[in-house]
Amino acid sequence: MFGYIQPYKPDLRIREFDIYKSIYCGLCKDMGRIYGRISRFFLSYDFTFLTLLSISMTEESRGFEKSMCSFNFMKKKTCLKSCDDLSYSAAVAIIMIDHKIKDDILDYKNYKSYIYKFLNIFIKKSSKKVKENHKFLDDIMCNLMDMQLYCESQKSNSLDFSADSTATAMGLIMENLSNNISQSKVLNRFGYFLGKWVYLIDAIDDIYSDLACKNYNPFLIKFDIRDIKQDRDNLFKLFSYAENTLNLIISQIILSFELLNIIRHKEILDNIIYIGLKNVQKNVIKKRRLVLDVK
Amino acid sequence: MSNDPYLVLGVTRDATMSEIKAVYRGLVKKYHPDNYGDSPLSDVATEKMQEVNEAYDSIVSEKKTSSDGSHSGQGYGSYSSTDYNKSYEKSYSKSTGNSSSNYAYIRSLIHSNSLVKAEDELAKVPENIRDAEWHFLKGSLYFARGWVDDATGQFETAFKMNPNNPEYRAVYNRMMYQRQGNYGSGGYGGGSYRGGRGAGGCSGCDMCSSLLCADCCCECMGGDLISCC
Repeated sequence: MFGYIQPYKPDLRIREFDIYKSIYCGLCKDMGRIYGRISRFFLSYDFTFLTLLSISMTEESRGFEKSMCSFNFMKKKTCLKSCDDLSYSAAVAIIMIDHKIKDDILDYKNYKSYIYKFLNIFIKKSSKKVKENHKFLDDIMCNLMDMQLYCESQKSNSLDFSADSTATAMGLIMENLSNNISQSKVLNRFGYFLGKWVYLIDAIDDIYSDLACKNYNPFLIKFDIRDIKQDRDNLFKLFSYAENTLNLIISQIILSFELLNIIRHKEILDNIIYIGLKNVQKNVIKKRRLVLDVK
Repeated sequence: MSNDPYLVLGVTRDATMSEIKAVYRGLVKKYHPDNYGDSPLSDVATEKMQEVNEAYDSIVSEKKTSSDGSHSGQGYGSYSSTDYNKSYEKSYSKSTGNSSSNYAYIRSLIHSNSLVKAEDELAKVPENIRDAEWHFLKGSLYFARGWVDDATGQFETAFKMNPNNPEYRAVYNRMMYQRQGNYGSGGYGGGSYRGGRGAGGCSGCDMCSSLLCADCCCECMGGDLISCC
């Protein structure tokens, strides 16, 4: 579920990449500071994006500082100074990962569920802290969990219906980045489509493991796929349909993105939104399609 | 937001009129109401459009006074959203004129973002009399809610039931255009990253002129590519 929202590095300027990296480092530091060392291992690109978007929309600019990196003691790294944007992203990161781990414990019936149960031990304390400090995040996630269980139990073949709970949660999380009413509305729609895109790209990424474990996957139901070899042609159809749908969602992401008042770091955001998402999407679909060519 | 017209358009103070015009045209395409349709963001887009228009007008009048009117004014003509709304209303009444008045009511519900109520009203229509308009409205409802994949299906049904309706065709084509990986509405060069032209950089016009060029070259060498010209 994580790591899909990332820039297309070859097209980033070096100074842009430096800023991106320092946000990543700043977030890592802040997570460690607030939620303990282990929480740092759960960091991903998506929350870096959330921080980046957040600091791009605030009036006053945030400062950077050089500080020691816990993973590389020899080198001082430039980090974003700790600020509200960072602590919000850190809280979102913890609570999303907590949700993901709980979801995986339910999903996997084999040895993997024990791995997730083991990880759960580490995240439990941090997520409790988030729930105390950010009540509304807890509400969003509880709602998401209930909605998702309901959606999965319905075994619906509608991609939109199955992605709706994740998308709505992302919309609400994004909405908080601005105090301006009309900008909040745009952010909500932007987050909604971004969440939908992440959910569906994740569904494509997990398609074979879901098929093997007989887990719910809206694409598998929509194209009535039960076996890789027998339904090979249908799987090809599935991938090209998925690509079209994801394209449509990206164009909606872009339409809402263009209405946001971005004050700084616009080029990095442009990179992620206009070409980063598409690049990730292309790679994920290509990787899954290749499996079919081999068989 | 700042009210400095140059900041709104994102141009420097010493930009030439043609540069400003090019930026302005790009922004008008970007915020064009066609791109947003029944999305709940259409009013934000309209606001942005107004801001851009005002900024452009004030720059044009400023430049005019400073250069004794040597520029012949707006050229492109500032885009007014009220004109669009009028034509929108017109197409509404035209397409709903021959069906039951209930559809017009549902349309207005979707337009004002009362989606739950609109869905109830749509569900009330018995299944055997659900026509193209019903599917189109259902599609618009899904679209407003953000269910773009299901919306495509409904728009497709509406278009197939009544391929002659220009509204159904336009919306269906736009969805198909975006599904192919193009951004914005049809004809829009695409969300540009660093000013580069995105997908669809080769327009029909480009292709025709390239063909004509190739034909001319062939004729120079004694051959012929397009026999009729």
